[in-house]
Order: sequence, then C-alpha cells, then structure tokens
Amino acid sequence: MNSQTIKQTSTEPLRKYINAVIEQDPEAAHADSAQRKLVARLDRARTDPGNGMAGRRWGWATAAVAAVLLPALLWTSGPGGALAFAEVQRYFSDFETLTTQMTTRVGGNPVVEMTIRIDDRDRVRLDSGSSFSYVIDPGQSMMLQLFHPQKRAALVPLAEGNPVEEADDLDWLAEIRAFQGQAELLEQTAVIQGQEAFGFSLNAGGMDMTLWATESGEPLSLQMAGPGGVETRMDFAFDRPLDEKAFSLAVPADYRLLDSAGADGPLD
Amino acid sequence: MHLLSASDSSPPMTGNAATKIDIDALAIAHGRAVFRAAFRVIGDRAQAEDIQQNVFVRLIEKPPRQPIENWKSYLCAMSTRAAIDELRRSQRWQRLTGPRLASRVSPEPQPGAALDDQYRAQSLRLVLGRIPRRQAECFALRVFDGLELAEIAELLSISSNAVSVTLNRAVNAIRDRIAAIESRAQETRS
Repeated sequence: MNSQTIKQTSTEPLRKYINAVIEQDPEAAHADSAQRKLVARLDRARTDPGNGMAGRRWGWATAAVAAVLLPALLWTSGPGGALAFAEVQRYFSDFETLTTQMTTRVGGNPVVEMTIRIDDRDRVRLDSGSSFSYVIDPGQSMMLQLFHPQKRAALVPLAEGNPVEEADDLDWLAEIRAFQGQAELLEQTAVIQGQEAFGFSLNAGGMDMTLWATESGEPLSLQMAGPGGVETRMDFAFDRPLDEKAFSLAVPADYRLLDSAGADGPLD
Repeated sequence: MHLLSASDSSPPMTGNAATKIDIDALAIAHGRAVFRAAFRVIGDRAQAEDIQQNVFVRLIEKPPRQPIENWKSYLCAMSTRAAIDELRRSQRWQRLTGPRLASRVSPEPQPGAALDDQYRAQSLRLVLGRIPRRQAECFALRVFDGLELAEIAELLSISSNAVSVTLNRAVNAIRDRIAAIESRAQETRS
C-alpha cells in the first residue's frame, strides 16, 4: 500500500477510498488508445512548432487580428470582472479550430460584421463581408490581404524573429488568464446555437456584458453594450471542420498582386 | 502500487544539453503511466488524454534545465499536478455556477447512493479538488503515484519535513470531508 508511511490511524479510514481510485485504473486498451493519440500529437507538434501546447495557441497570428478583437475582449484586463472567464478561458486555449462571428451594431444597425477562423496551426482567416479578407500564416511568416471589390491582393511578410515571443506584448489571452473577478449567474437560460445557454452578467471597464456558455462552460456568445449605443456580439464555435483552402496564401487567379508597399489597408 | 522502478532512472538525453531530450523514447516508455497518473486524479479518460499530451508537448516547449534522474516519477508528477489543477478548475466552475448547474456538470456523490467503489472514488476526487492545492499534490503524489517523501520534496521544491506535515494535513482534511459525506449519506438512508 502506498500510504504505509502515513500514520496508520490517519489512513485507515481512507484506505477503501484510495483503493477505489486505484482499482478504477484505465484498461490497457484505453491506455493504448491514449498512447496512439500521444504519438500523433507529438508528430504534429514536431512538424509544426507553432502547434504547441494548448496554452500557447493564438500566438503571433492572434496578434495580427488583435486590433479587431481587442475592443471586444480586452474587458478582461480591467479591474474587477468575471470569474467565469477563468473557466471559459480554457476553451479558448484548447481548441482545434475556432470560428468567431462578430457583429457590431450601432442603434441596432450592423456596422461591422466579421468572421474569424483559426486552426490548430495558428493560421487565421479574417473575412469582413465582401470588403476584404486577411489570411495570416505564422508558419510561412506571411499574410495575404485580399481586397474583394478591387480584386487586388497583397502578400505581406510578417515580422522576423520568434513569432510566439513577439506576440507576448499583444497577447490578450495572457491578460484573460490573469483575470479575476465576479460574475452573476442569470436566472433565465437562453437557447443559443441550438443549445441551452447559461448567462453570466458582469460589468467590467464600464461595459455591461453577458457571457453565455453551455452547462460545461463552453463559451457560446459574448454580448457587450458600450457607450453611444454600440453593441457587439461574438458567437463562438469550437472545433468545427474548416476548409484547408481558407488558409491558402495563394493569390486567386482573378486578383492582381500588389507590392507590399501598397498593402497597408483596404483600397479606395 | 508504485509507478517507479529501477529501470526508470536512465535519463534519455541524446546529447549533453538538457534541451536534447528524446521525447519519443520518453513517450514510449512512460506515456501510459503518465496517462494513468492523470486518470487517477481526474477520473475522466478524455481529460486524462489531454493532460498526458500536454505533459509531453510541454517537454518539447520547455525542457527541464536540470538533468532528471527519474523520468517516470518526474513525468507522472507533472501529470498528477496538471490533473489536480484541472480538477480544481472544474470544481471552481461548479461552485461558480451554483448547485442548480453544478449538479448537471459533474454530479456530486449523492447521499443515499450505495457506498460502492465508484462512489468512494468519486468522493475522494471531489475532496481532492477542494483541499489546498499543495495538500492535494502531496497526497496524490504519495498515494496515487507512490513517490517517496524525498522525491515529492524535490519535485515541489520544499523540504521533506514540509512534505510530511502537508501530507498529514491533507489526510486529516480528506478524512474530515469524507466523514461529512458519509454522514450525509447515512442521514439520507435513515
């Protein structure tokens, strides 16, 4: 028995509980299955350094789209906030793919609509309706910008150096991790994306917001109300299959490639 | 059942630097034990698999600076500690969401249920997630992983005496909490 060195009088009442845990050890087949998955995971991690452990997701590539996401998510860095996010954070750092649909409304009218897709190699695809798309591939250290109305494209090299380390300054995820606070569980549930959702109401940085999550804590939606009647909603979908073509850096055949000097933003 | 053996103490370094670790060899030799160590704490296969993978990927990202004398105990301890963190996270979520939702996320052992092994294992895991982290680590590393006090002390960077004291407190805390669970179960039955 492993607990021999602990006083007999102390461990005796626990022995049957300890034995119960040890006797539940997984079967050999389950351990073998885990072993196969481990080997595959290590292969992926080795062939793609960007595909590190869960906590390192959303590294450099995230920084590139942080400017878009920060207004919606940096509430976590302010004083006070939501304890709920400490749990929700795990989903943001442990995904295979993440699709985020972001809509910002002013006075009820949508002014910004974006779809952001991220895969397990930290590649990001950001689509702003029919206006423009960005494809960011940290493995290739390149960003493809597509300006749809003009049929123009630009390939922009990402900054040199260690992409993950350089991202630390803009890593809003790290700020989310450090966040501590309180959130109030709403009495009413809602149905979001066809699932029963539990809402957490909180106020952070002067913004009222509601985070909706499944009963297991998986975030479904984040809704915020800011000054001037600005409302932002982000809907999350984790681990849905994404088309590999979405992350291609190839310039579409009907687009004209600009040099990088002209690729700072959408064209007039 | 101890997870250690004499054959575990050959450090699989492929070079002089600690950064040149043969991860594949470690995974083959100790992957199953790391999975089992996580499972004992967390009691969930999928979560144990995640923890097992993260232990080895972390080795790639952040290899230990010092030579490791016993890789099996080192890796199992990493796994156990990660599982305790996960256990505490999930239980914090339950407390946050309140009894209404908590009972749907991961049901607490229900008073009145048969005191079978599954109930006992579930109770011990529940309690393990509610005592102070250091106590839980000492308890799990000693009782589940079978580490000696000196090994635990080295892994946690504390003295053997501190391990002994912490372990004693852990046992007392677990015993008291389990007694309370049993008492509630007894009341319900009667």
